[in-house]
Amino acid sequence: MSMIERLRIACISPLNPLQSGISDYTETLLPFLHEFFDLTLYSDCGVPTNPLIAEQFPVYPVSDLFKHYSQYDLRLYQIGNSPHHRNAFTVLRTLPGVVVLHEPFLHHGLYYSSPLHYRRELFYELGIPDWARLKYMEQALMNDDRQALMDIPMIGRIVDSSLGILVHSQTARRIVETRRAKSAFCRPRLPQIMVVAQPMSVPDSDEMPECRARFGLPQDALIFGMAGFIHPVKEPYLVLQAFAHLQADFPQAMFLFAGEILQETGDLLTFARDLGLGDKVIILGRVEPLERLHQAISACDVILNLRRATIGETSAIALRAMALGKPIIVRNIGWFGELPDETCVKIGPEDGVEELAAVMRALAISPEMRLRLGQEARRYVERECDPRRVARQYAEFLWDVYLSIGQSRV
Amino acid sequence: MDTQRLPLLREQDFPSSVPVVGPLIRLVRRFLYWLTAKWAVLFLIQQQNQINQIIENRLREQESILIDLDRDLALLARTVAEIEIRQRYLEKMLEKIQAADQTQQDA
Repeated sequence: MSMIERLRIACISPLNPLQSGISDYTETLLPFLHEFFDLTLYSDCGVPTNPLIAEQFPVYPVSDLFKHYSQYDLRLYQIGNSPHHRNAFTVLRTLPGVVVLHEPFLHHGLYYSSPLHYRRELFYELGIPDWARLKYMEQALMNDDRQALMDIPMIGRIVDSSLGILVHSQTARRIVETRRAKSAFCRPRLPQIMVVAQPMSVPDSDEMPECRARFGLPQDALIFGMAGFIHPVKEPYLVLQAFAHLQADFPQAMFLFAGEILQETGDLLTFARDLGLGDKVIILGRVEPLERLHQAISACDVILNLRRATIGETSAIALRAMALGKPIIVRNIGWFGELPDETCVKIGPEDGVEELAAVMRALAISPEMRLRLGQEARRYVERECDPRRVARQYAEFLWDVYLSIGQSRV
Repeated sequence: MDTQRLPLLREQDFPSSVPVVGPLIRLVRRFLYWLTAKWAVLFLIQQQNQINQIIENRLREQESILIDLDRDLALLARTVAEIEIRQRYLEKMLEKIQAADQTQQDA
């Protein structure tokens, strides 16, 4: 049997209008995956907002997979740390398949899908009904203490029952492998694990002056930016403190938040005013549609995408900025640490305001450095994250899983 | 309260919220209780606590069994998924062989 034949795949994923990075991810990949497979989509999105998806693929509610499962050669689950996967978690328990694990950490997704199921999964991981541990975990969840939660990433059942697992970074792979080593089962065959790059189309670059005019931003300003959901884990306060250090030398510098400020982040504008940056910080809020977000990123000179702690996730926003040829500043942790040094500027995992201000200053001084980093970043995304290339990697992996199981002896 | 333990039964304290004479009423109630019911209530409390302890232990055993069953379910679900794939693979192979036979016969 060869790849010329087509496998019938049930693809279980959120799709727009469900607002999730995985919806965008799947919609980017589907047209390319369709070249290799006959795809049927299972999503609780209702009618997909993307007309191309709605026209090209049959879409059913996730729970319908219980009725249809025998029609497919394989099931492909797109799973992340969000309650959008509520029904997928349920189906996955009895109908396992190949899982694309966008983060090897499912605490929030499971808990906000159902506290009862969260308890079930925690006890599954622990192997005993440890109520004191449950209480501790729930407290850590409420405080969003990711470091405390990372000890038990809540992927045990997926690792135990999946036929194959795809992840997007070596960091995520290590987390999955660590969990797999702890598996309670002595099985003849462990799930295969493969790292695939996150697909990212490289859009045509928007001209910076045009983009700035569109958002009413001054043409001569040096603009640092942060995009996507503005969550405390992205360290917006540290970033503003570092930005304040530049004011003496770069009075024309500005800071742009192009994304929704989450409630738990607090009042950034008041903080900026307290630092004397009231007129230097602009908050756009949620920027839609995607083209407008691209324009907002294109209006910036440098994009900051820090993480205080990582749960093994990749950042679509960082890749978008790189695809748009923007230099980015990240911390040297997790997937961010795996980015080639020539494509971004990295600060240490524990670095503070001074260190961050120093790299921001270095980038502010040198337009050549910004240009070089941006070009390398764009080349990296073109090379590694091409959706066609990623779809081919998917195809090879899914065929490998299918054939290795299909041809094995019972 | 520790969420994993059933609470122990204890004696009533007979409080009174009546002003001034409240403590006196409490004393009288406690005395009557001591005189008439204490020995029987203490015996029943002890017996009920033992029963609760047994139930608690049984519930813990059942929870542990459920977790084991849940782990078995994961393994079985995976095994069934593998068998499904093998079945479909063999069906495809069979279709291919039948198609080849048909072509040979037609020739």
